Amino acid sequence: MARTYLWIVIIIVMAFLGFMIGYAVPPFMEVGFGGGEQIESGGAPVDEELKKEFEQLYQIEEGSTESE
Amino acid sequence: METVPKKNRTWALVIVGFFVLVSVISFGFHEYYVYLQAYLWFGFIYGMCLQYGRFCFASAFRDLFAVGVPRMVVGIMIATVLFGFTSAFVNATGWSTFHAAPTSIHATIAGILFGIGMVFAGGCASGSLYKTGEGNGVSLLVILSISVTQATFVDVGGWFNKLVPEPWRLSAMQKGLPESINVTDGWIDQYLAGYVWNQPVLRFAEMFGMKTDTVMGAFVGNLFIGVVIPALILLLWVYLVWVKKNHVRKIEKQGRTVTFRDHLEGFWGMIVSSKRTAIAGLFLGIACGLQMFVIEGLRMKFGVKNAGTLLERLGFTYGLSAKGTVFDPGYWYVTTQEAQWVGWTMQKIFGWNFMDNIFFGWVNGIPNPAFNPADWMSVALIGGAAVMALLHNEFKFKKPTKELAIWAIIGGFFMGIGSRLALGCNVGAFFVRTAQGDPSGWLFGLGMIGGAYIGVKFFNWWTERKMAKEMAGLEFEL
Amino acid sequence: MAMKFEKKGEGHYMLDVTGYVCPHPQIYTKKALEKLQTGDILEVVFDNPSSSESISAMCDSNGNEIVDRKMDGGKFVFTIKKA
Repeated sequence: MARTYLWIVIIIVMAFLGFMIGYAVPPFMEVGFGGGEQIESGGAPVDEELKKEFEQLYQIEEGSTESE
Repeated sequence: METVPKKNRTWALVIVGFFVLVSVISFGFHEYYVYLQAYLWFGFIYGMCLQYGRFCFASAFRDLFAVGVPRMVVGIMIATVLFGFTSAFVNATGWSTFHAAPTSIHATIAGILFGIGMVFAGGCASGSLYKTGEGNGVSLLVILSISVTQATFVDVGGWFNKLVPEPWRLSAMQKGLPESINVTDGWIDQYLAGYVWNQPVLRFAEMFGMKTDTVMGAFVGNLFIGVVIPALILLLWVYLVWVKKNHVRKIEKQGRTVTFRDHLEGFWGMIVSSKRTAIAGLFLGIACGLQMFVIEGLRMKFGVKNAGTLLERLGFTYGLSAKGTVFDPGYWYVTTQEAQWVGWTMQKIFGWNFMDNIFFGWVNGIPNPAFNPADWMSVALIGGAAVMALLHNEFKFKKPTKELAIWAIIGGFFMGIGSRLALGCNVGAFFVRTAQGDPSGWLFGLGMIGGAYIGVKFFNWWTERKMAKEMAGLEFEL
Repeated sequence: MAMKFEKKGEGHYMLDVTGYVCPHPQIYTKKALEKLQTGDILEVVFDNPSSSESISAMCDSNGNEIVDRKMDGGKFVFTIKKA
């Protein structure tokens, strides 16, 4: 029983975590990994499909946090 | 899991509900609050992990020296290596939030003071936070003691200025700090500007001719050379001194001779001896790296380098430092925010000016605790630990006894001094730094080990004495 | 609440360290066990959750057997048989 509650807590935490990671990933995509000196002002080109995915990610996550 | 009273489950949900509410409502005010929420939810996770694994840095070497239990040393090393691994990813991008600390003997001296303090207090800085979440009044006293000691210590001047060596004073004056800081007044100011800032800032990657912000430097230099190898050496030492003897005895009881394979098994047995601690270490390591990643991503997104800019944009300018910054490490930290809320309270209520020292006035500021990102982290850490304790039926309000209250205050005092001298506690000065390949973290760690040894020696003597009194009426030969 | 050490019967002792935080419960337990004879029983009463892990690990490595562990509402009672 307490285990169910623990899972509820974990799911809520994961939801917020997912929301914040969703916020943080796109800027990282632009910068890219491996070598800070390679950063250009415009950033690396981002795949269109990926962009769309992240836009949707925001919508889903925002919806889910509001309902909680 | 045993049956848990309904009251406990309800309270657990109330606590989580409160944090959810804070997050949703603040996000409704402005998108920028995501930044504070990141601190909040990672703090919550740290609290859950710490409580679940009874993760206390204080007990690591203390329990090893006092009762020969290695589980916490192991847990901490697991967490450190994993945290090192996750942050190597972030470091390789060159966007890490981490700034290495100056490396010199001061870290070890601070570590000794901190180590003594944490044995006396019965918990380190992070351990006291999570134990407060278990309802432990002693731990709350420890936090109060650390907080007040720090805030006072960074601001004391007057007579203490006489204790400042002349070279420090001269060197501090040359740092070109603004007039408002009044650098020649305050022991810590001159210690920082006149001594600590002059020490070299090192990373293992750079020491071995690599660069931290490359894959090679982050993974080989910082992680492998700076974290994995020292951690293995440390664990090997623990095995050889504390674990081997018992393990060999067990095997010899079975009438076998001990082979190299047995030692490997013994070593592995030591690693997994406390599942709880190891699991907590695993999740802690991952969460710590993720936090760096998230905070850095948010900084890039909002185009800021420090939360002070966000607070300013939101219209909260009280307590920003002379550079417009607030304390915003971007990773797990414990002690600075504790000093900050005391600083804020004392300045607001008693009119004590805290902004004329480097610690508050130049670097960290004293923002309203209600909008201080790092304070959100600490409060949520207590909350996360409370939720975990409630759901495992381990929550219990405990009033401190007089004896323990005295230990708590003395211990908190030593930890407060130690953490200001080292610019961090067992988390900020040891755990985070070592995981990032900063040698000053290991220097602090060595000090902590030494301090723990001294603290244990004292408590052994104290306990002997008390036991002797209790047993006096019984027929023991003492 | 102060620490209590009592004899409950022949070869049966009780150590009450309720209210104490780390490291006291485990140090007291260790010191008490050192005084006991092989085969003696020690009941340790404590309410500091993290001590349960330490005491378990300590007994495991020293060969002392924990014959019973009770836990209720944040209060722990471990019954340890000295090896």
